[in-house]
Amino acid sequence: MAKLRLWGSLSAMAVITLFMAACYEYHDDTYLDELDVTLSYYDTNYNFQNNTTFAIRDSVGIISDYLSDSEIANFYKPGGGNDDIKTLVRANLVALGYTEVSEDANFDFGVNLVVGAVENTEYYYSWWYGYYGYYGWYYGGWYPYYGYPWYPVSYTYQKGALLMEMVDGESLRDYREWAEDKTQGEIENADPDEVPDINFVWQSIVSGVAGSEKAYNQQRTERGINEAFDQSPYLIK
Amino acid sequence: MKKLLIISLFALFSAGSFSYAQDGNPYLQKSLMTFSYQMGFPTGDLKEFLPENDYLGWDFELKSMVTHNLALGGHIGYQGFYKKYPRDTYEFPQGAITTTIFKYYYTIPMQMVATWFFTPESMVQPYLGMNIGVNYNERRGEIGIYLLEDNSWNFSFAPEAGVIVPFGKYAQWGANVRAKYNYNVYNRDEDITMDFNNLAYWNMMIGLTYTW
Repeated sequence: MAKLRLWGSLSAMAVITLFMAACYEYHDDTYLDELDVTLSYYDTNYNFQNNTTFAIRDSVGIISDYLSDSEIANFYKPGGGNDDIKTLVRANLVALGYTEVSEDANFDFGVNLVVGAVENTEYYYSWWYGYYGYYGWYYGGWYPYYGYPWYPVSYTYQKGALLMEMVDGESLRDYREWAEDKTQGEIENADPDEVPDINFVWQSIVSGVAGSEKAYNQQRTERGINEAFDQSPYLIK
Repeated sequence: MKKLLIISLFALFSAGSFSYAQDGNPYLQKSLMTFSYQMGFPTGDLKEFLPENDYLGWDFELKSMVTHNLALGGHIGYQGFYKKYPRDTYEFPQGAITTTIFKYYYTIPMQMVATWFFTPESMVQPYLGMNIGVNYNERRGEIGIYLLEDNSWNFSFAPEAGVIVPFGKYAQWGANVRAKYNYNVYNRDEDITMDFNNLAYWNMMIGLTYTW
């Protein structure tokens, strides 16, 4: 009888322990770079192998709502982010078998690079903290009970994206020729049927949440650029 | 949240509405309360979406004998499935994407339960049960920082088979081991990644039953 009671008590403790453990779900920590996305898509009707030369636009464009003037100036200084991005894109295209020429030449591809850096602020009502180790945000909808204070919580994060575009050279020259003698206003108000189409033959976006360490962000950007070309085997000459 | 509370309270306290005294039964009394640890094993479309077992589920059940063999009551439980797909490249017709993918499926069943005990006066009590009610389902896919989420309430039923072994004559505690098949009526034809005809998973449960 005593033995049975002992086994009974031990079983009870085991089950209760498992029950309590089940209430606490733990997933592996998620690192920022795991959330990075590299996406590419291309014109499936375009024959990349018939083309040889490319020209990279002189500067990487920036669209941002939070970068300061000094941060932007640092980006464009010699050896800054502008040079690093162009150098790596150039290296990947050369490795694929293409030859760089100047912007004045009759290049087969024009390469346009743009960096976007925006700041997001999210709000939620904090009532119960759960899902330790789970990266992300849990939308509210929990109704507050009397006696349990609930309060709005906000957090801000910065998202970065690098857009890489390859444009058919001939279509770009046709457009430039058409726009050459027009003002900005005339271009913006022109009849769409009259505007020569610019043929984007390959586009890629590398995006993620910015970390606090510049070197970490730079390493992730470089990884994304390499991934964009690795996942595009149709570009190989 | 309010809906969840009302349904679970109704299921649990309905157990007290009907009762049948088990006079002279040293092993099974009028009411039964069971805490269970449960493991979840996805099947069918759910397994295709998220092929990962979960070993951290729980269940709480309350029921009363209404005839010599039949008990009625309710239960509430929880199971959470999760899988992380390490960074990899996925191709589609016009390009490709490289990212880490996280998939989650959380489910909270809230059901009425009917249990048939074949030999309520014996030391070992095998039973068959049927659970009918609803599940709150939260199915989520995260592609980097982009979220695809589907939350819904679904009609569900869950047949089960198990055995209770009391810890002795007149003992109010006993071990409860059972297997349960959970089926959610769930249809999704416009899902970006795949179609769903159901959400179903198996449970293996080990618990403690208290009878009084």
